[in-house]
Amino acid sequence: MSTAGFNDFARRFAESRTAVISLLISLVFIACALFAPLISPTDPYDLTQLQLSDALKPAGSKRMLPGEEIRANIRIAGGAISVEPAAPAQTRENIAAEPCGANCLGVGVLPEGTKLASLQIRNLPAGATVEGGKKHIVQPWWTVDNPEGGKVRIVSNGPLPENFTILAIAKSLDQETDFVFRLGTDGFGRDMLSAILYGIRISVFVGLVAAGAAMVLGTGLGLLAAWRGGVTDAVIMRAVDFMLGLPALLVGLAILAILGNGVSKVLLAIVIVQWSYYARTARSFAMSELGKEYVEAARCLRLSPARIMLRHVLPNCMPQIIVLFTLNIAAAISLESSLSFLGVGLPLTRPSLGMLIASGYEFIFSHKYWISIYPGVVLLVMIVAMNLLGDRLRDLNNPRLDR
Amino acid sequence: MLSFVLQRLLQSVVVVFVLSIVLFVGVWLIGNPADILISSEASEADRLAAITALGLDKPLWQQYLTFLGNAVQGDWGTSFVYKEPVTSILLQRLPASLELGLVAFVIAIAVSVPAGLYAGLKPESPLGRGVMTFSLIGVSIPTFWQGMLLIVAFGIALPILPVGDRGAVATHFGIATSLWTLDGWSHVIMPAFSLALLKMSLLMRVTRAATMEISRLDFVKFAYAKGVRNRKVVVRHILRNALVPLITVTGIELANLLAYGVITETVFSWPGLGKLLINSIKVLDRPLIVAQLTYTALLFIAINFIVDILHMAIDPRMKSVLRRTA
Repeated sequence: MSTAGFNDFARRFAESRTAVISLLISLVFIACALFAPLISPTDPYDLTQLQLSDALKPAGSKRMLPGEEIRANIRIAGGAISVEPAAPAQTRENIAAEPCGANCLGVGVLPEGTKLASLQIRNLPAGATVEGGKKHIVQPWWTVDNPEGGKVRIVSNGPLPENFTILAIAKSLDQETDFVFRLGTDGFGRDMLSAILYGIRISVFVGLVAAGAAMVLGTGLGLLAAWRGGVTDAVIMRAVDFMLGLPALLVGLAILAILGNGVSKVLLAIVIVQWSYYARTARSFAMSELGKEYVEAARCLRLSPARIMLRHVLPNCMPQIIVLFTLNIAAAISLESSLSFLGVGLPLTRPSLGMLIASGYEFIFSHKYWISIYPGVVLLVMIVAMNLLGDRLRDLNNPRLDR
Repeated sequence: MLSFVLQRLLQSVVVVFVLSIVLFVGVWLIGNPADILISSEASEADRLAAITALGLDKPLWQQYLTFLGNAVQGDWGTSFVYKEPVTSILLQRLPASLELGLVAFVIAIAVSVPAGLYAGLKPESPLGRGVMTFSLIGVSIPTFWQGMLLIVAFGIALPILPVGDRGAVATHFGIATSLWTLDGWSHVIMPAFSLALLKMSLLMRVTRAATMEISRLDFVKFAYAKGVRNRKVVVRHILRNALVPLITVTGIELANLLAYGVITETVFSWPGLGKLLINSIKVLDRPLIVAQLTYTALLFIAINFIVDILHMAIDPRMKSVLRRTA
């Protein structure tokens, strides 16, 4: 297309504000797909970064660092108290114990007044209890949640024995970090914003590659059918009729049921579903082009059939095929997400948008809507934008609407 | 006419035949059912005996012929999981799917034809534009997500409708369906609407386009000029002619309803064929998968066949085309 022709086309395209907005949205999505690793706050595929304590947080919550655990053995031998760290790797010795009157032993962390999530005392001597503590159902373990001043008191009705050893485990409070989960987290503690950005990347990739491959294959077969005619035409067009008669979802489901899941198999399934649309369109437009004078002129020059079809006929069929391509990207993305939702599409470790929505399905029943809602909104906006874009291109190509 | 019907019938039979071969070979490629069926603790002799008993030692083409012979007689084999004949399992599940599809179909037609007609008559009115926006979103929104939104809205946030399962079943006039009970209706209405949404949106567009096309034609203008009442022009002239393309699309969409039921039934835990198919694929229940896919394809081909014939019966132009080619 010449520059002037393109400018004219662009001007007519821009007459529809909706179409311009759809184009911008589509470009934003493509940018998201290209630069996902740069703009996403975390790497959703890095399983080592995930921690279950972050799971199912609503949008806007902060990432928490889990509290540290400090363990110390407290040995009482003939009135003398000694404290030694229980885990060998632990160097800091900040658990202290001192008597607090008759039949009482106070255990706390240093410095005094530190806030703790819990303090647990294990292996108490018989008859002793921990004030305000809850006993483990089976084990002789006593736990005090949020102990006041980071201290607990071990009390006993009778005198405490002369010699005994207890284990104290102090758990510090979870630390808030500056990192905010802007769209919440999923069931694995994965940041939804990052997962959505990477999901867009996968969905856009699948849509473009599958629709592109279907376009090349389908257009090629359509041109072949138009050029050769006869038996070739009949065979190809019967196959097209056959494919068009079957529902896309079921064909995809059958193919993936047979081949198993994976990115390449999903791509293959979409190509098998979609090539027929291109073949039909390419054939019908090529047939009408083949009767025109410029083709006759090219034939008189004894140009090779391949050259006539690819250099002369194909460019004249291209506008219709591009319209189909735009609409089919949306259809491919939608089909992939449906197949992933049904559990036969992409693997769980690299979730597409459809997979993210599917993984949030079980949580909607416990009022955790965000896991499904946000990726769904993104998917919807993406498909609507692609459909509007395709509709606009089709209107521009329709000579009946031309002024 | 008769030769056309016969030709289409023959074509359909060939298609079904080819499809059954593709499916059989495809599913055969999935894996050896002997590994799934026979316990790993079985002795080698027992294993071989079981393989012979199942007919798995024969070459593939012989297995296929056996399968085909049995299938024609209505015997689709025995499910690996349920240990019951496939036909009886499918028949148990069929009513649930049929009632969901039927209600969805009625909703889709009841909403889309009036809405599309209105939008076609007054394309620039706010309501006409609203119909188009609705249909754009309806076409674009992924079926499973839209179903989940419905569950969130009407099943959880405003808990007015039950989610999952089919509700109470009653039998009247020899038909056992949950559509006889109020409980059944409360269960079916949400999944049916969810399933209908995509079809509804497509049919709205088709009706609108057909209405706009026909409104421009001379006979409509003439009817208006003659002073025929508005309502009469719309119903007698426009709607009647708009129904022709609608029937073709409706037929295809009816078949699609059954296919997309797979998603809706999964989202709403509807105990129909679609959910059964997904479960069978997950556990590799080979006879069930083959039977269901073949059955659905058969249904599709049958519906396409009927639509072709209907189309010809309705549109007189098709007959003259036939006469010329014959």
